[in-house]
Amino acid sequence: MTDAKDQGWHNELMDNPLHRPDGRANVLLVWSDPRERQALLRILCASGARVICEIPGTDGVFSIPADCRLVVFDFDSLRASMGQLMTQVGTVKPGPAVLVVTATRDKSDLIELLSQDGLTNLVAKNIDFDPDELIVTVQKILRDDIFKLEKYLTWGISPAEETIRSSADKERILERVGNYLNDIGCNRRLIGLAKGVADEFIMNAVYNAPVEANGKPKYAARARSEVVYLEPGEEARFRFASDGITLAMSIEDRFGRLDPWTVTSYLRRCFMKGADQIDQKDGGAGLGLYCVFESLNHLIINVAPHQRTELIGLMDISGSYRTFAERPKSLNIFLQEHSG
Amino acid sequence: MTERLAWAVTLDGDVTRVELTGSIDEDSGFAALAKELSAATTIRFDLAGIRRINSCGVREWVNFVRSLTAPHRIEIERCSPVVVSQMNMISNFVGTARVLSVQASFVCEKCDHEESVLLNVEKGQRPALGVVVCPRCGVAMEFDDVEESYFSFLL
Repeated sequence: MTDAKDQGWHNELMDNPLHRPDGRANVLLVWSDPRERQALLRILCASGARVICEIPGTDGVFSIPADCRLVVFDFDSLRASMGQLMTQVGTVKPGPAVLVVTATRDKSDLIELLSQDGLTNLVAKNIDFDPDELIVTVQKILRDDIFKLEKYLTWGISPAEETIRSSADKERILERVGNYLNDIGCNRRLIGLAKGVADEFIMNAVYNAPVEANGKPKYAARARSEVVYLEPGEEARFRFASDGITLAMSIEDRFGRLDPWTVTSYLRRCFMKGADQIDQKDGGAGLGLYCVFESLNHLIINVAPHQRTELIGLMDISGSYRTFAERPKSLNIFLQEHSG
Repeated sequence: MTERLAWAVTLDGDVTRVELTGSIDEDSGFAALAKELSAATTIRFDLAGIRRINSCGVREWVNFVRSLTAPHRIEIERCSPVVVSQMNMISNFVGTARVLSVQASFVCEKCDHEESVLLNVEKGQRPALGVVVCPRCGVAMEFDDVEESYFSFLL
């Protein structure tokens, strides 16, 4: 399966001495570059997982270990093996989550990745790996503890919070976000982007999230110019905070309607820029998630099906617009397997 | 402070100039403007004052601009960075319109001062950015975007 001469790392179990022996989860690390692999190994072991390294052989076949919870995949060097990996993952029950790490900013690569059935986690690689982002992502998968904006904030930072009871709340909240960012000296264009993300988050929570008792969308077909007042129990929660480097925003509803396929298929359709890019049906334009993704460095979608959805957006506001725009993007879709 | 879309229509010889300001969103009904422009031949939109466009606004704008077919001749000038982003993200965002000029943001890496510079553009060509000097500290400012992606709507 792999080149056995490759410095003896093949299929070795890399035990984290801080966490043995217990019921640790198996993580399969499929990575080609030895130095990067070592760096990733350290980060993954720090998260308490048992890490097994692998690269595909010439036949493209992988050894997916028993009870594997997560596969971490090097897209930039091993993209030719991506299809085979996803096929094999699809045959394993229960299938492990797949986390693709890539430095790509190429739209055609994103379309290719979004076309892979079952792929829900895309982590951006800059010059180096961001250990915080990787550890949070891996922990969320392994612990099945996916909610809360605080996981992405520096300790001690308390988010500001707004309850949304109506679409008419939007302008007030956008103004609050804008004033806050202005006060901390954020780049003007980044303020506009952040307000755009908050706008789409709120519109989604008010019009798209609520469902009737029979599961039918309640307000999704309404014109977005028609003010909607949410019933008690339908309210959404908007939160935001910054540590001066990253702006984090989240919106949470109590419906859990988003599913990974909808997210990836909407994004793929929008990136392809075809004649169907804009929905002309009643309701929204079908561009909200795309606009949000393009306005963030990291979009996280947490879903407990039929119970709860949380969208989290992270933006690098530490410098200029260009600093923000040059960074590749991450996308995570987490499904809570056990209702909490 | 609300940023509702507003417009001002003026005549400049044969050209009907339309200055749009504010946000293009779900409340931006363009029907009244379309009616006002029905007799115009050459329409030149000034989009320097567009601060935000949300996903519903994209649809409103696209349906409006695509409805302005012959005999209308459409030109768009002074596009704000927000408009340029949408031109890059949305297929056929300006319909048959010819884009004459865009704003380019520059930032001073020394003092964070931001400046906007108007660039004339031609389809198929990436414009030269030139040198922009910070009015506060006198050093050369940096283009505050990624050139390759900002001007991709021209290529």
